[in-house]
Parts: sequence; structure tokens; C-alpha cells
Amino acid sequence: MASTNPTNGSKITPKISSRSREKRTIDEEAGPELKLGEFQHSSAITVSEARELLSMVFKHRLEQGKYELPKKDTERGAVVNKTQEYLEIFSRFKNRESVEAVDRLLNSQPDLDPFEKAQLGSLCCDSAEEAKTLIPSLEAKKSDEELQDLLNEITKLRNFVDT
Amino acid sequence: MFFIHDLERVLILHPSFFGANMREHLVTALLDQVEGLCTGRYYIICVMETTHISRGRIIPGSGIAEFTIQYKALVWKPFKGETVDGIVISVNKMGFFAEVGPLSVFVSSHLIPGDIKFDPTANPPQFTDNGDQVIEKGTHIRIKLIGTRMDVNRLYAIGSVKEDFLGLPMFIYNFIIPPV
Repeated sequence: MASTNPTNGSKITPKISSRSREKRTIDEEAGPELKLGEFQHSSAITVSEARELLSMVFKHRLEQGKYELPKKDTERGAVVNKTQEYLEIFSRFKNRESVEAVDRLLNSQPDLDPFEKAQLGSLCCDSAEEAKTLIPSLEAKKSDEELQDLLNEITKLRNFVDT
Repeated sequence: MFFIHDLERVLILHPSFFGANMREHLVTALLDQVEGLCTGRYYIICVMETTHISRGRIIPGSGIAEFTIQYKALVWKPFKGETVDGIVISVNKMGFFAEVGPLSVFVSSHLIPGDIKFDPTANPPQFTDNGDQVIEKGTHIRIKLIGTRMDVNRLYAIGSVKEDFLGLPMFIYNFIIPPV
């Protein structure tokens, strides 16, 4: 096959036709550096938010009457059901107002990644050290004091609602 | 980690469904096919809304029409290195299984702190340090995901509770008792 100077704009040689390799998912991880693959820019949400959204969507669907909820006795329905139960148990903020308050609080931190914000809102750590151990990518981003302030605010919201 | 993710699916519709309610039929088919599905990379929990339904294209040779539907869905995906909360569902001498949402995570006894050992005599079977730390069925536990493996339509994961701040919560998850 004759080839031209690659810096020359005209392409005489046909491109070799082969399938481009599928993106590697092996290096996806949430370690000291966040490598989230296709989810890098997707909006991550906390467990409490997910619970709110899910119950809202299902409530709306029941009210509208047009579409059905997933049936509980199928394999797929079991996945949805298990997730709903999980969300009910592990959500720290049980009502709309507190979920929105936490959301506003976390969004006031522009230097944090959505994944990190969602983790902070879901795990509700008490100390900055705990947060930095459980969410390794925070290490480089925030000082202990700033992080502790943020965590204290979140804890305040949690206690305020539940008393 | 839960995400609101934009996804796309190709659906087909038989001509008997053509008419005024085509949109409803398509959305019903989408919900039926996708809600609760494990794609091998993540779990689609619920479809939040359909953002766009393309024009139908009739497949030559049959009367069936093909539509591309774009939608937003609540999705759950486990990441290596992520810290998650779960509930223990079974315990044996090799370790224990915990359920994190739709996924079962296995924590091997090698990744459990040395002072918490398997107690075969206890009923129900449990891991204990003979103090106040007991891991048995129903225990809430904080796990760090060490690895995930994907298969067609199934996800597997293993985790660890060996690091600081993992394992059993220091305070009870009962909000009536506020942390000190």
C-alpha cells in the first residue's frame, strides 16, 4: 500500500479497518484519584437523595396510573425491592427538607467532586480523619479544619431533624 | 454509589401497537426491559424520565418499527476503593456475605481484623472478638470494596473491613440516641 507523508492533509491510504478496542474498565476505581469511567461527569447522589427520588417516582407513577411499578416476585423486581429496603435503612436524612439542606450545604463546596460530595452525604463521618480514610480522594483536596467544619454542619442537620 | 445517568435504548414496536398510544407502549416496554436490570457494569434501579423518543424507523422487510429512546435512570454502580454500608446476610468460616443494595459483597476472613475471629460454636454463627464486636446475620457493617468482577448480567464484589473506621459502627444507627 502506498503511503503519503502523514503530516500531509490528504489521505491516500485507506485507514486500516479494525474495531477500536473497547474502553478498559479494569482501571476504574475510587481511590486517591477518582477514575470513574463513564460516570466521571455523571451526577452522583447520596443515599438519602436516592431514597427521596425513588419514592417520589413510584408515588407519581401510582397516582398517574399509566405505568406499573416493577413486580416484586420477578428477579428484576427483587433488585428494585432490595434497593428500596436498603435505602430505607441507610438513609440518614428522612425528609425532603433535610435532604435539600444537605444538598445545598454540599454544593457550596466547589472544589469537591460530585462523587466525594455524595460519599460525604451518605457516610456521615464524624471526624475529618475518618472522612479522609474512607474517601481517599479527599486527602489532597481539603484541609482537616475545613473538612471538620463541613462534617460538623452535616451532623448538626442530622441531629436537628431527628430530635 | 448511586447516580442519575443518561442512557439510551433501542426498542421495537409491532404495527399492531401503532396508533394514539404509541408513546405509552414504548415507555411500558422500556420499564419492563430495563428496571431492575444488571447490565454487568451497574444496576439500573428505576427510570426517572424519558428525555427523548426518536421517530420510528420501519425495518425493511417487516412492518416492525424501531425507536431510540433516551432516558434518565437511577443507577447503582460499585467502584473499587469505595466505602459502602451493608447488612450481613450469611456467615461461615471463610468470611461473611453482606448485601449492599442489590449486590452481595464477600468479605474474606483474611480481610477481617485479627482480633475478630470465627466462632463455630455460637448460634447463629458469628465473628466475634469476645468483647462487644460481633458480626452475625443482620449486623450493619461498613465495607471498603476491594474488587469487582463483571459477568454477563451479574456483578460480583469482594470487600475488606480491615482498615480504620471500617466494620462495625461505633454508635448505634438509632437516631434517637444522638452521638456524643
